Amino acid sequence: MAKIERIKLPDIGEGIAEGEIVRWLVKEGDPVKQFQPIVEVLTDKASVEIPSPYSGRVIRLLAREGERIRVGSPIAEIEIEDSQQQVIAQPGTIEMAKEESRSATVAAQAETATVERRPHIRAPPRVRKLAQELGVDLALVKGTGPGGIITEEDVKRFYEENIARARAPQTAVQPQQVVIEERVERIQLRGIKRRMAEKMIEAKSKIPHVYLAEEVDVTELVRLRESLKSLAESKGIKLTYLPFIIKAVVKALKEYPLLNSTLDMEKGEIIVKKYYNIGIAVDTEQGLVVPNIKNADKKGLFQIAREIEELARKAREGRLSLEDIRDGTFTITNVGSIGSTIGFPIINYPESAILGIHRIIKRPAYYEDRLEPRYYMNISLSFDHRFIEGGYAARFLNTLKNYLENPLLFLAQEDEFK
Amino acid sequence: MGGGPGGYPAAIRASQLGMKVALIEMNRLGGECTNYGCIPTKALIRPANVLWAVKKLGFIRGNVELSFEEYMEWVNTIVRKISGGIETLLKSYGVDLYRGVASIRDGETIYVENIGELKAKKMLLATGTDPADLPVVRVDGEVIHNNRTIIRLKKKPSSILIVGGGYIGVEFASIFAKIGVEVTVVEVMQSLLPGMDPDVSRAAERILRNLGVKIYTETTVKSLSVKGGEAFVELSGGDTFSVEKILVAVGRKPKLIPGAEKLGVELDEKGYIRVDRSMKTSLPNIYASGDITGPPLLAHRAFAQSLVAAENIAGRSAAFDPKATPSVIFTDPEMAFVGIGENDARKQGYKAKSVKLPLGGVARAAIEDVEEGFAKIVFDEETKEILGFYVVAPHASEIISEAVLAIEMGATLEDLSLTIHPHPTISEVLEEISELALGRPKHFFIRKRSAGSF
Repeated sequence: MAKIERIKLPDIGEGIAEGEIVRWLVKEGDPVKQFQPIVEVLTDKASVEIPSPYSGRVIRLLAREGERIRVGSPIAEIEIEDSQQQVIAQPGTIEMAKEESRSATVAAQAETATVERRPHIRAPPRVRKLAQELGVDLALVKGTGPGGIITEEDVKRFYEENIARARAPQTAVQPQQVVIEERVERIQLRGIKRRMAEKMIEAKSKIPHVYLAEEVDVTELVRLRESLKSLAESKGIKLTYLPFIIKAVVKALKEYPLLNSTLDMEKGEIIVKKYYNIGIAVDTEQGLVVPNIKNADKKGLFQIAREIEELARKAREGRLSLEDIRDGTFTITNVGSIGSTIGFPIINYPESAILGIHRIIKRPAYYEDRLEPRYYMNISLSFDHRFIEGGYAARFLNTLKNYLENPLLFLAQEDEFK
Repeated sequence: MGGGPGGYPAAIRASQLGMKVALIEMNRLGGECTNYGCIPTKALIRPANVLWAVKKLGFIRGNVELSFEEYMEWVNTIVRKISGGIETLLKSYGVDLYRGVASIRDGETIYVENIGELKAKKMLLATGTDPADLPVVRVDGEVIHNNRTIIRLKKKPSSILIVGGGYIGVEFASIFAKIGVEVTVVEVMQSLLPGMDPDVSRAAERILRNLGVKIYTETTVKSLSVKGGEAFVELSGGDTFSVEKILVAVGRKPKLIPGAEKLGVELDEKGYIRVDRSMKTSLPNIYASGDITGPPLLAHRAFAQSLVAAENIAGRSAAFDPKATPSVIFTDPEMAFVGIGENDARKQGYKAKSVKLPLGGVARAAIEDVEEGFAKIVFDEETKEILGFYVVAPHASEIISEAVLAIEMGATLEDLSLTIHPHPTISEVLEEISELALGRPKHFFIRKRSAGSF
């Protein structure tokens, strides 16, 4: 006996209530093996591949790409064969299975539609065709035409109001990504880009941002990096400035813990974190993602360098795990990599501050009364002014500047250079 | 696989949708319909009707004679023209045609005799049906025929026995009767056109009797012997007689492509392929359309299924989901039906009601010299939605389309009655019967108060 199992969107992480279907990795009719990834789901800023819990055949995909699905909602139906029998050699069972799956789909729509199934459908052929294309069950649609005839508008409205959450059409028709109109091009906001838009609005509307900037003399840092470069290379590490900056940031955060905290407005509490997961903003083709280096305070310079490389690679390949992007406490973003002198980033909500770093510029400067070539970098800080005073933030930035100008102060404990 | 109405439209549509298409046909393009069914029978009917009309009118005098040989050649010319047209069309669309007997090797391999193996990502099975046969009456193509061999007759027979009173039997009975052949029809069930609306069955019986056809119902052929180009028949009722030709028209049987069953394509209890609304079979990437998916066996239904299959094969989402599929029987007058009868409508939960209008209420019927004819409309008393329409009238095959559209669009009696129909035409029957159903006919008097009783 073949039977139909519905696959639900599993709980992918604490507090994650919904995910977006990014890409189906199987089609209706495809055979699947247990643990074979069937769909790529985007939650927060990680995309997760959901494996099939069963072996069998995909009967129906219940969610379309780009659709947001709540955890626990059905996303696909899989026909499971009995271990002794092949699906294709079972006359008499397939039809029944189809019926079952059809009624299951209907049930999914009925749940959300909160209307009764109508025994008789009155809809002209073009409306039925539209319903078929959109996967709408006409028995659930209330007709507003003469005598209760279902119109095209009724079907479209039902689709917008119900299907977007409940299910999608029966075939792998790709929703059009780009709809060309006469004078504008409409590009659907999907996946990471949509998540980015939502997060930016959340951060900007909830956090009153205040901005500070400093110019840092990084001549020592430049020299130090030069001297460590070959050692790092011998260990197969490409040493950038970022690991140094992370080390300096962590040391400064330990002295100014409010910048490594979260404000819980509902409870009226500041949650000060005793761990330092430093996020690094990575620009990818899909959009902005922010994986973080876990427990950066407990890691050495080279290890951080290694982890940055690994996270950046995973981000570009779209392979970040939920673990990689969760639980950040403070974020660093390279605002000036492409060339701006100073920029003020938006805080990675619900963190309390974000550091913008910029290009290192070599220019003539007076140093101990002598004109010599020196290296300078601008840094900027955006912080949550709901609970962090300007003076506190300024002192943090000064401390950070001091460390970056005198890197031995924060690298003194390093034992990796042996 | 199959170049009939279930197959060739799919080839054209798939090509329109940008697919690479191969079509395999073992015989002639157009399938049963074009070569042995719809087309040649309607071609046979037209001259027969002309001949009969002249005879019936009585005032067109002179020596009117039917040359049987030229008559059959004319029919075959039409068949060749239509079949050839399909071939030209397919070639224009870039469809690769393969002629030969095909069999399925596996889910993506088809073997065509004398040609070799073809590989396909998706397959459409549209192999149709063969005429069913009877154990007592074996088709020999000489004395005993089926619908395929009868159209190759060279000489007009003096008498014919038609075994089977379904629509094929009834159509051939009227053709042969009108060209002057002595016709006997034997039907095993209690009426002609079994399964049809009783009003329609009765009309068919009267139409044939008016043509001089001898009808036996609830009767079978008990024994049969062929001797000297003649058949001696004994019926179950005891009657015995001899006839020159016998036509077996006792139904159809599915013609499954070799290898399909072995592959695991699921069949129903009668051997037809099971499909869902998207024309998918039980196997991935294998679709079926047309008569091979089971009754009703209608070319226009096959056309529609074929297109749905092609759309889905090309990755779109389409369903074979008609509210109404019309059927037509080309007797004289013609009979046509669409939708559901009153009883079926009640079973489906409608407050169903029907009214019947004799054709006398339509002026054109008098001109057409119709002895037999009526229309019947089934509707929901509450919503006035039109659910079914039956008509026995000249041009019924043409006017039925209006009722099909009405049902598909969810039209009501008011919609039909307020639609102006040209006068004088048979199509006025739709307007008139809608008015009758609403209790206000203009060419009919209602004696009692309740609408539609007469």
